[in-house]
Amino acid sequence: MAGKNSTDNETRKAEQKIKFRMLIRRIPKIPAAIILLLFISSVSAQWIAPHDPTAQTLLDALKPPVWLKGGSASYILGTDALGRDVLSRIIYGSRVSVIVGFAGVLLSAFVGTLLGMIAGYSGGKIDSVIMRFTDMMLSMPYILIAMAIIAAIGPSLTNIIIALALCNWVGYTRIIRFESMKLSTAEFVDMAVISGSGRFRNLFVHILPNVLNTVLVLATLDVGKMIIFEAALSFLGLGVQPPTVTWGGLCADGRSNLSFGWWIATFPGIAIVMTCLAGNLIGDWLRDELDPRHQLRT
Amino acid sequence: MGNIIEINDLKKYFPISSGFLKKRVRHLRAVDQVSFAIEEGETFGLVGESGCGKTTIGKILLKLYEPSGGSIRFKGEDATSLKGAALEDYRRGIQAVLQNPYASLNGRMRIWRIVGEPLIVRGERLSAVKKKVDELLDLVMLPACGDRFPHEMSAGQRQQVAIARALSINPKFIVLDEPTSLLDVSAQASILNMIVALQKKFFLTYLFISHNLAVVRFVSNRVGVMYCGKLVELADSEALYSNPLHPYTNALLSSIPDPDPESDKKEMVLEGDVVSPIDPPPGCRFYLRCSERMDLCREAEPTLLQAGQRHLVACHLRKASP
Amino acid sequence: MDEKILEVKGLHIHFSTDRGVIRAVEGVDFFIRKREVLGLVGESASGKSVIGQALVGVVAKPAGRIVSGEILFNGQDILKKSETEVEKIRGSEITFIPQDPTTALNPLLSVGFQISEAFKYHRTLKVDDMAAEVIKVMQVVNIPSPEQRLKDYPHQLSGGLKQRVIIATALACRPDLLIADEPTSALDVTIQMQIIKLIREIQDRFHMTMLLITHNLGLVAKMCNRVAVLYCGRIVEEAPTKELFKRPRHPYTKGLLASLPKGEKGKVELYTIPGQLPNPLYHPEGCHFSPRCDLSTGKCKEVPVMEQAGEDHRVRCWRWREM
Repeated sequence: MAGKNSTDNETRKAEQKIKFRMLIRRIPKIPAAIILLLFISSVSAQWIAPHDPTAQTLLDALKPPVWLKGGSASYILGTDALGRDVLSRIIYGSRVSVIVGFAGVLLSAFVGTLLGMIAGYSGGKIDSVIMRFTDMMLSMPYILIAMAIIAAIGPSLTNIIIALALCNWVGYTRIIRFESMKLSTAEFVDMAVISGSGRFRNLFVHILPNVLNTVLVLATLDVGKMIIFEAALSFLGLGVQPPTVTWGGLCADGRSNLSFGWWIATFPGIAIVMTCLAGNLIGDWLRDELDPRHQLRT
Repeated sequence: MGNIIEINDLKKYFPISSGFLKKRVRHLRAVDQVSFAIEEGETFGLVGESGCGKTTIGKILLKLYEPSGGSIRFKGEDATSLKGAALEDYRRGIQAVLQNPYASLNGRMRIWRIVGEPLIVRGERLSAVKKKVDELLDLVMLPACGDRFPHEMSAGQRQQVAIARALSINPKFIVLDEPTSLLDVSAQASILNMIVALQKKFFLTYLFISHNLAVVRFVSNRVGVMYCGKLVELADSEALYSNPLHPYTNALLSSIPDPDPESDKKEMVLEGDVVSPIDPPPGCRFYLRCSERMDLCREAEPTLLQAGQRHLVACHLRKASP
Repeated sequence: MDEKILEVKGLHIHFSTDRGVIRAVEGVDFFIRKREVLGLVGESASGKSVIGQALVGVVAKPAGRIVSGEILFNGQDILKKSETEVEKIRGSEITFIPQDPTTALNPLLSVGFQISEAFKYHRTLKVDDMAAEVIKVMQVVNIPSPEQRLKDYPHQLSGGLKQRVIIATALACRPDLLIADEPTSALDVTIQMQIIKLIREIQDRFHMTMLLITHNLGLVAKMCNRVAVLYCGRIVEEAPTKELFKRPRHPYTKGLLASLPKGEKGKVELYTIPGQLPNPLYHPEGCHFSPRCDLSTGKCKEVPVMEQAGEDHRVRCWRWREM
């Protein structure tokens, strides 16, 4: 009477290897490749960027991309009004996007999940207080909150991340609260109490691991949102300040040159869109993948 | 051999607020003045249908609910309202195996972690825990399964894991709430055998809650029948099955279809629905469905009285024999 | 009376999952005679529920596929019919009672409306007649005060009443074949008795043919004329009820009957069939029961054929004679 699947641990391990390989095969290739590209470019910007992103060469200002008349191979995506290479700026800009995207998501997920779990598991007054606070936050337009925070503490990379996190955590709280509520009535939580586990311990040992799937899906879908958020702030001039390059800043720069230098804003814009799309597609795939009902597939 | 558990006039009322401004408060009397005692080493079966209060009693004994009234004694000492160290001591002595094998194990933990939780919570070293878990898994016939996850195991195996967990801190008393209701016939048989064998081996006391009378008969020494929050009959197992006194017990016994096509068991079909114990009317709770009811039954609630040797029943029709 | 209303031949149903193919039903043959109640008995993953689903055409697509076989209803293979033709049959000639009455009813529609849906799709009735017909069928299932209950919503009804509403919907068009999948498992035991009594009365009164799918052997003993025992997708034994309980020929049937709890405490240990139900993805080679069978030999690696073991009694075992 040893096992449901197979009779010994060896076969089990072999099966697990097969399952893992099949999982890798299922990952959506193109979105994953884009995210990978993003990471690589942010980590190795100084080696792969053809030019210094802040180097101004006024003689080469407003050069179009290489495939157009007047373009040159040394500036593949063209240059901006001050002669700075657009491609290099995009590559360097990915660093901020990655940091803001991931750190922002991490922080907001942490805060939102913590509050959601506490609200869902505790119920009663604590739940009411947390949810009323959440409702309050939800009723305010996030851009204004972010602007207010930045205005108060100043626009630096850390402060941007804090501001974004403070606006975004509410997305997690509602959903995680619901999940935690369901879980807190599950028999295994009762069994933990019977085994002697205290409420605080239950939260982190039993509830948290079971909401992680949901958090992961939400977080993945949030990455794109964060990048756009940061881009919006940069566009408004409230993001990370020059000389640090950000995609939003690039779009802002290119705004005034849309007729004669459309490439300056367009390519960073495309970068934002593609990253966001990739994040969303992976998030969708992850949600389906982690759904237990998705077992039966052809 | 004394009584390991004694409950006296145990009550659990759940307030239900209704009405527009939630002003009107009614009470769901899930457990309404129930008293019985469980001797050390015996299996006490508690039977009834949904809403009768049997599961609630189990949860009160497991300290998942606080009673609204009445008292509990554990090993002779008062255990009605415990906190802190006293509660921790209590939990050492009482463990549980619950109904749903899919919900009672945390799907994200490995089996050894699940079985060892009562020990881990109490600060045991992980190496000691793993060793003890291996012993327990051998005991429940799941050798070397510590590294698996619940989803790799069948429902019957999960209940075996639940039993191993219940035994991990050597409790004296185990509450089993419908442990085999969701299992196939073949898994049920092996779990029941295991439960009985472990009781003999470790001199355990069981409260066995179930709606299945055939199963209860197989494992219990004494049986209590509950209806709508009240205990209506209490007797030794065989006495109950051979001589049921309360009309509800009769109906319950005849409602289990015998797996014997030639059985001539009398069929007693109860009309009406299972009554909800929300603000019940005075008189016997079983009045509306009872085929032998009298006017007295509508007015006065019958009390649990002696009607034979170790046989109590709460029914006006069965007057106490002196 | 000997006329076969339903005949299933060589039915194979597979489910594709990301971990492989589950052979839920592997070559099942059976028939039901007019006015007979056939019990389909089995434990988890025996395939009994899937067979019921196949008979009403609701096997979950795209994962579930009826790979081969015939389902002859009144002589015609319903597997070869178009969806429109099947829709005409489903709900009027073949009806289905599912296990859980709570999830089978739409919580947002009144019960009267839901019962009347059976009429709407299959009979042309004037609106005024509709209410009267619904009340009539509610009376058949002993729903008290049907005129008032028409407008009730499912949450206002108890489990037993909800099941009666489902049964009413199933009976509305006087079906030729009624399929019940664990009709009493979700109910309290005293309510189960009521529903069993009701179904028996209906069966008597309307001379209905019924397929009862269940794991509850007591229910089978009470309600069925004949029983087919399923294990891992195959019928392993089929016989009239009394015969099956008295003289089970297949080791699995014997084991199942022996492991039911009976008698009092301390008397005897329950018999347990050794081993476990195999993983549905990996059915054992040959006879699926052989790894757990005391009598298994090398020959059991060949799938046993159905052999006649008495009048109307079939067994799928190489060694049934030696029991």
